[in-house]
Amino acid sequence: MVNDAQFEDIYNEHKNLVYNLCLQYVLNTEDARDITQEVFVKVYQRYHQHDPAQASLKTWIYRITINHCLDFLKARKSKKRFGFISSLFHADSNEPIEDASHVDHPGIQTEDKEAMQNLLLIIQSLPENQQTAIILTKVEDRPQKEVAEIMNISLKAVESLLQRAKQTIQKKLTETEGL
Amino acid sequence: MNIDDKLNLLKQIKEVDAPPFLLTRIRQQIDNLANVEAPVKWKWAFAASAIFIMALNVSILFKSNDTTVSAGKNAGIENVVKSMNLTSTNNLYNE
Repeated sequence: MVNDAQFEDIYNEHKNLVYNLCLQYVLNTEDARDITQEVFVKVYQRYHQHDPAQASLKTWIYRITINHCLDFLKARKSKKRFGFISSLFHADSNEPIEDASHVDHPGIQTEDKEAMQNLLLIIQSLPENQQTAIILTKVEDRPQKEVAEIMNISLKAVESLLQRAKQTIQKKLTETEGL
Repeated sequence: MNIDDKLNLLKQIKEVDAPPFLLTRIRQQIDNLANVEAPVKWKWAFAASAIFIMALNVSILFKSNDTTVSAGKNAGIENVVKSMNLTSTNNLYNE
């Protein structure tokens, strides 16, 4: 079990990494904060399972964060689907259906905010592996070798994922721009 | 603008600081989880009693199976013998 001082050091060293990665996935501050909290609770509970010979602490934390974010997005998608179905049966229901297209990302400070948000939403709609590959290489600016290690796949597989992701993004951008 | 240029725009996203007081919230959640979890002694006691009850059930099940099977077999044969007026001896000619 990790002691309090050790845990605080781990937290201080990785808090921004985890929070920013969560933001790139879920695109809003509230959910990113909640997931960051869950990630560090898991780090505290599972620290004894971390094997430095297999992966560095940073890689391990990256993996936990990615898994939490992907689980969250899956849950949100199914909740939205369920909310839509139940709203068909309970027309008088006042429960709001969560809007996944709402982007509240404090890191986006460019002039063309709308285009950036649109791009991030397209990335969010990609298959999980492609989404992770794009976020880690293009947003987090991690080298492909490190991405391969985090995703536990080969370098070739990362290249292939990036290629497919780019094709899909290009296609979707053309569709939206064509509207 | 090609796709790589568009994706390179993502590098303009600024890194933001994690919200303050998050560590306090994390510690609070860890403490809450620790309080909810049952002590190890209780877990072992529960496991031992569960194994004991299961072993008891299995042994009773096997014992009752043995007795009912043998009793059931005999009862069945006796009923057939009685209803058909047969004898249970090997004397074929009723001597």
